[in-house]
Amino acid sequence: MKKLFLLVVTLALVLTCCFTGIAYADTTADNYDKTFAYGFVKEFCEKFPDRKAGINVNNPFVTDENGNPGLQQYLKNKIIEVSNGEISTNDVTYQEFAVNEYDKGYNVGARLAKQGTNKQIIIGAHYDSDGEGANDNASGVAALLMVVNELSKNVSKLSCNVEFVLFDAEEQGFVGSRNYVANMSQTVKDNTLLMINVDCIANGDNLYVWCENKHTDLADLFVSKSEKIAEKPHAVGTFNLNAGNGYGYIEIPQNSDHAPFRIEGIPTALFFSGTYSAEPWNYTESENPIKNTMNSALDTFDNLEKHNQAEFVIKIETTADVIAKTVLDGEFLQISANQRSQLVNYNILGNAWWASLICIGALGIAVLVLVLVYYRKLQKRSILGTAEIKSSKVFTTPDAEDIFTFKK
Amino acid sequence: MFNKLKSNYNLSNVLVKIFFVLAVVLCTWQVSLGTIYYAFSGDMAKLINGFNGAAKLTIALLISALIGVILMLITPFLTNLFLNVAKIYSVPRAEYCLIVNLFCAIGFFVTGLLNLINLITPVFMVWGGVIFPFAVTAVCFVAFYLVTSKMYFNAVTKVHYFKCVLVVAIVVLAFEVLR
Repeated sequence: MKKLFLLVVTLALVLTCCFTGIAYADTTADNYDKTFAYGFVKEFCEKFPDRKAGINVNNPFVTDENGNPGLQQYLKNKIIEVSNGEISTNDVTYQEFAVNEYDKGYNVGARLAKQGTNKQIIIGAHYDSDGEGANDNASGVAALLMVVNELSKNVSKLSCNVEFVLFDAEEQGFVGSRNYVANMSQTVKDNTLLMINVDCIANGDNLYVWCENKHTDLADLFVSKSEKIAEKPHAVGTFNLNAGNGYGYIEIPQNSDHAPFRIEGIPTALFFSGTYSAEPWNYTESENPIKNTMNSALDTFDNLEKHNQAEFVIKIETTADVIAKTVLDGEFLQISANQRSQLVNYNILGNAWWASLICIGALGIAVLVLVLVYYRKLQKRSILGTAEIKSSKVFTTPDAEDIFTFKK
Repeated sequence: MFNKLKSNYNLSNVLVKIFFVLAVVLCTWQVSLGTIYYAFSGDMAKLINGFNGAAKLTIALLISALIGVILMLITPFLTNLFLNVAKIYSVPRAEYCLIVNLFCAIGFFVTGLLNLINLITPVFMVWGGVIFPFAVTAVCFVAFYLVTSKMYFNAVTKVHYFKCVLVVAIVVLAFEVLR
């Protein structure tokens, strides 16, 4: 009887893990292909091998020729499926925006609400891609779904509302996230403590988190949750280039959906993989050239598995685990609230364009006044002065000998 | 040393041109690096294995040097154009072109040094990018005008020369700010 009871309990535990949760504590080379992360990335890439924003397959309100849901509808179903009943159909929203003159894009959003607070964090990942996009960014979507699953099991432990956003049109220049930020009211921006972005986490050599170009309490909190993740090395030197996405300086991790949030003063954390040294320009996806597949037709599920085996699943799981544990940490609310005061601001004189314009204007007026004064002085001198011949030369050559050949 | 250079136009010309190219490299290497950094990401990165870090810096320096050489070749052409349009025929052109090159090189060199301040300690991260080139260009134009007007123009012709240099300065400064 005891044996039967133990068998039933064991079976119940196994079934619970298989059907209601996303267990990922012990992923190894033997079992990685049975994990949620593996299954999702594979299925997502097979079902939607071309997720370029704006093409017909992206229409969320129609099914394909086989009766399967469209891309956004599929994502909506996935969010609901993993949310342990905490997110219903009505809680998932589509935000429509124009990708370009002809095409529309759709951000897919869902919310885990915490009663009694207006404060929120945003966790995002883009789902569009150039080609199959297994690493960029099916891996990020998988991690986000795993975070949804983990946090929805612990709603009572949340310290603020959590908004999940799957962005469209990142590859077109963060069009989805720019539109999302443009539609946030100032109150919502003020109440947003943090934006966590997950992008390209599966294929690179290392797993990084990047908050600011210096140590922050928030980065320390993230890193403390796992030995498999490191803070991106801080860049040495600041490059004042227009290409810096509005940060005022240039660094490769600025190139993702968190940038529009950070420019608005909302603290951000980016999870990404790759190899990075202290030089701002020294980023590569991998030291192994054949693994450099980002934004290319080589970024396929087959290549991701072939080059990484269990490692890519472990990276996705680690990312999800770190984010979930950090958000559920008792100190998270206080640390993320303090993060605004730790944002790097290289421009101590302010970023306002009008202030810069006034400064240039003042300089220009000062120069103009001096020019006018000098011009009047010149005019007086020209009236009073003599038109003597000026034939000064700095160089004694070139002289006629340098130009002509004289017969001697 | 200075007297030796004054007596040897060809040597001075070569030295100024070398200084010009080096100054352009110092002034523009960050922009070249940033451009490469964006241009050689994604698909392009795969075409050139190991093309990162020090290799990118080397190529950025080479691109800046190429820009320097092109600018060095264009400057005499533009200077001659300016003198023709302004109808100034009384200056020794080769010498005048060399002086233009020298002041341009000094401008690039000082801007490059000021850009290094941003790189090391970013006090004027955003404003510095606008104000440094503006201030340096303005000062270089003033210095250039004072030197050349004293050497080649009398009290009567200085007025015309001043107006011509002022027009060029306004065009260049406007370009500096709007860029």
